[in-house]
Amino acid sequence: MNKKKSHLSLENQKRLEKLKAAAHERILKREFVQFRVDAPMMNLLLKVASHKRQPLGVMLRDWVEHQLAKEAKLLPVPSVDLPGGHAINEKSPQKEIEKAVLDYQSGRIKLSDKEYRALMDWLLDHHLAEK
Amino acid sequence: MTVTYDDNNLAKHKVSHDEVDEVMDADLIVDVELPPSKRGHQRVMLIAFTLQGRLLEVGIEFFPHDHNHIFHGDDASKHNKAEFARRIKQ
Repeated sequence: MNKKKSHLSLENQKRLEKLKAAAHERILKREFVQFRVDAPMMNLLLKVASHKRQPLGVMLRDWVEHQLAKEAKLLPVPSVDLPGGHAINEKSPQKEIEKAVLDYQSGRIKLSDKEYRALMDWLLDHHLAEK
Repeated sequence: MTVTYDDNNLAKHKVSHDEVDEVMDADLIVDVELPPSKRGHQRVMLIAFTLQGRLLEVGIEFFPHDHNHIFHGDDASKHNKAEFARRIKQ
């Protein structure tokens, strides 16, 4: 369930996996994020937003979207072994990943649910970054 | 799967349900197996940061039939902060 080695029994790890998945869904559905800033930064943010004649929330969302598009392109490609000794890895071009997904969807190759989801997530993140 | 919360405990320590979710969903998370509850159910403690950067400890009791009870949530104790730092460095 995490990047660090768990100290729990396999049974408890499985229960936590389900809890984590449900918690993740609830976090996504919030569609809301907040964070603290100190008074000097808040003052500066308000000044900049006023200068740009934009509501503060709209300005911050634009900034986040802009940076997110850059960062999403840097997300690592998931490593997935394909039939016939081929593999998807960090050197694979996007077209190869799209082909693997299409091959799976048309039944030409078999992937585990986890592998398919990892490839689809990567493609969706990239698609959003390019929008 | 069902989840219930000890809202008295969470309110006492000013921990929200959203923060409990953030701990459960954290990638950098440390888990500790606790002694079973008086009812004989397995319990675990999770230690992780919320999205706002608050390091929390969240206790979960596993009931039968896939029911989970969040019995505790608070800022991480000194001991759990140390455990978090030690295990994250491993």
